[in-house]
Amino acid sequence: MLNLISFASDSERYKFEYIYEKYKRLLRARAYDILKDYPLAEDAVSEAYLRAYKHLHKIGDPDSPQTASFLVTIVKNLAINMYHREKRSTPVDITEYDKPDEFNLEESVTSKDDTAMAMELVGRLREEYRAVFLLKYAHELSHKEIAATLGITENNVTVRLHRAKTKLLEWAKEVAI
Amino acid sequence: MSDEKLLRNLAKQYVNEAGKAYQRENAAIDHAPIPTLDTKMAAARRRHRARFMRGFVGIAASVLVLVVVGVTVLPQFLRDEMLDRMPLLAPETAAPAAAQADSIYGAGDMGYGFGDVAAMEESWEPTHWGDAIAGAAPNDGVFGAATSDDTSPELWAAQPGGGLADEQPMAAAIPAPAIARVFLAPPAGWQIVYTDFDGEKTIFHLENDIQNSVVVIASLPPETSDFSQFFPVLINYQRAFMKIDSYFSVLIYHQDGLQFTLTTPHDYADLLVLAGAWI
Repeated sequence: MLNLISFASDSERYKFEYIYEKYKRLLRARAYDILKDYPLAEDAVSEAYLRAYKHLHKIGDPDSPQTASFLVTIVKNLAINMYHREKRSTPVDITEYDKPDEFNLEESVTSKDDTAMAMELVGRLREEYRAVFLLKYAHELSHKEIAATLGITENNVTVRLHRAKTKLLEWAKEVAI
Repeated sequence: MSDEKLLRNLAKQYVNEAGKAYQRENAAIDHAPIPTLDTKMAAARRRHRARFMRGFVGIAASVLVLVVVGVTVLPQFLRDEMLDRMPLLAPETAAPAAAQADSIYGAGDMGYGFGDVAAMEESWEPTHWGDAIAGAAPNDGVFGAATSDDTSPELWAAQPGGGLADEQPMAAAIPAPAIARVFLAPPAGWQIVYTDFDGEKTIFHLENDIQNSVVVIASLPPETSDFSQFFPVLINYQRAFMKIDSYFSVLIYHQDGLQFTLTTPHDYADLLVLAGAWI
């Protein structure tokens, strides 16, 4: 795959090679968790790297948690999209991965840690909303870039983002109360 | 805190924590040590450099081989191929003959009348060629035994009954031409003056294009009517001198006063064609 991509400079190429080598197993595992199919998981990983490559300039430190999160966000959404496309022929139960992360409101209220609260609130979002939200607010992609990365329309990005924000603000107020 | 700022904080904190979890998971999946970015880049550079060097060395080696073959083997091969097409004398036999020009052209005495007929004009350099003419003796060898007391010893080393005759049994059966003179690499502008039996002189000018050539002035025995018999001998000369990268010109004088010049730059076919035309 690396041979198919043209890089503007050697350093960019080394950076991408490094990211590819470092995270390919993680992304493959994440994609396989959703798709339960190795070839499909490989396709999802390749596609995720191709899309990440378009935003390579926005990836700072390849070893940072943000980079890992960015790649996982992309590959998970691509895997879910692929799952929906393959749904008719591949009877796989994806509900486990397409639902909100486990969220314990009571525990979150008692937690004094903002980070823990963030994990819990954002984790409650459905994956499709969470991805748009994170790409927008954490990775600072534009609507157009998010649409291209996730393979959805800009309108869809706007809608998902609006819903994600509404939900988060609503939950945040509940927690604050 | 504004809503936007709150959302941004939530997003960044989530990404940071989730990213750490992903990294732990990644480390658990990938047990192999992951090189740092610097070592990764250095390794990539080394790979690229090694790939480049392999290509460069390969191309250089190919070029070197081609040059070596072109400079050494190919000319020798072509020359040998050309010589092999000449049926009379193997190159191995011709080569030493060429190197020993002064022993090849041992000529007999004045039996055929050209012993003193050719002389060079003022530009003649006797230290190289001698100023007298080697006559041809009616002997039993191709190149005959020289009794040339008036010839240049360097050029006409006398080998009674010997010379190429001993080395070339094929040529031995051919009537002996009288090799009046051999000029190796005469400079341009020289003149060769030939005086026949009647005292009539003929002047030959050596043109520029026969520099670095070999000029042989030869005469045929009076009884020789078939000029073609003479040719194998000339070809032997040609072969010999070709071996030393010389052009070969032959000036032939017949008893009746005819003369003919053959200039054969490495082309045996031309020699034959000219011979046929002359005959």
